[in-house]
Amino acid sequence: MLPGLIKRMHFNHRHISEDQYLVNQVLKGNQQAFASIVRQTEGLVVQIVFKMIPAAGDRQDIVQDVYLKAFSSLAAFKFQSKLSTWVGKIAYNSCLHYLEKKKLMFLPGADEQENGLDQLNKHQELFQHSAEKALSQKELAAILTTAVRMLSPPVYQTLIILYHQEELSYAEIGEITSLPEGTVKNYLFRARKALRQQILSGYKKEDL
Amino acid sequence: MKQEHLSDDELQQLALEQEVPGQQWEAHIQQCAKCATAIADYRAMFAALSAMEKPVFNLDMEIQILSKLPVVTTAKRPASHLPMWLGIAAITMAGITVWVMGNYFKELLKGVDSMMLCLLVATAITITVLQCREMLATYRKKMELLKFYQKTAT
Ligand SMILES: [Zn+2]
Repeated sequence: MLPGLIKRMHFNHRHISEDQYLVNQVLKGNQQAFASIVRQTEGLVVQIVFKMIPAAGDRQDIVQDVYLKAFSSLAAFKFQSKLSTWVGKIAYNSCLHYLEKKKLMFLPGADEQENGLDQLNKHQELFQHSAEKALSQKELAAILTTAVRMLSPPVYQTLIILYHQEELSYAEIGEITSLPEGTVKNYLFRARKALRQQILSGYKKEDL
Repeated sequence: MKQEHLSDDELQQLALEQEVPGQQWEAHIQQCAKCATAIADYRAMFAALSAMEKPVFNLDMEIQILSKLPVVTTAKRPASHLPMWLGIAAITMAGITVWVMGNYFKELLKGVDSMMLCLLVATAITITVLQCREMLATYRKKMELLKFYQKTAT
């Protein structure tokens, strides 16, 4: 089997029994077990919240809210997915609920977008003058951070982060976002293409 | 050589080391610099995406979250029969002792006021029950802790 697939085949029996043990402990009143769940899933939850919620001041409350919801509905978790995927889904839905309540689009703020465009132009100018120079991974990562923020529709940003940073499978991302697996795949292809075009247009025009 | 260039989806799949149907692409990318470069670009982009800095909060969210959790009432588990059997055994032992040694006890307590005797017995029983309860609670706590660390260590 190909390494790209092996890396993402996470859901196995070890995970189920680990998850089962932790959930049972929490249901028996063991708060340390819940602390373990928080440690295991915090990275994913924070990624989702940072990508979806433009107001930095509200993010902490949302994360708090996600874990309170997870804690109170843990007895209803049926082990049909990984526990982390289930918590991720709660995070995603909480963010959607927040945006709906605030009547916000799933979009970066206008300021952020303008700022992002400026930064992207700056990066592109920089590399137009040194087209010969190969980009270091760090430089490329810096450009990408801005470019990902510019992706539209904004759900592309979340999908890119979940696939490439959190290394989730298409199925797991589908579970979290309630999108069919085929749609996740399709959106990701488009998002990657847009990213590549956005980044390379500035300094490697001949490749496009 | 396959005449048309690879589609963008195929280029991405190859960069992700995912399966691409057909065989023609192999020969094509060996001879087409444009497609080979595009795959290399995608690979570099994917590597950089996973190298991107992940967002973090300035404060320890774990502590924040745990401090806000509601107090949990432990779910009642089915009562174990062990304490009941231990109790029966203890009462039987006490009964046998009283039955065998009854006469000696009568001699011993001849001069003691009956009110005083009741008080003594009640106090002894209360202390014993409280001690047993505490021992049981400590034992349970230690077992839970032990089980938790055994499991998390593996
Ligand atoms: Zn080609």
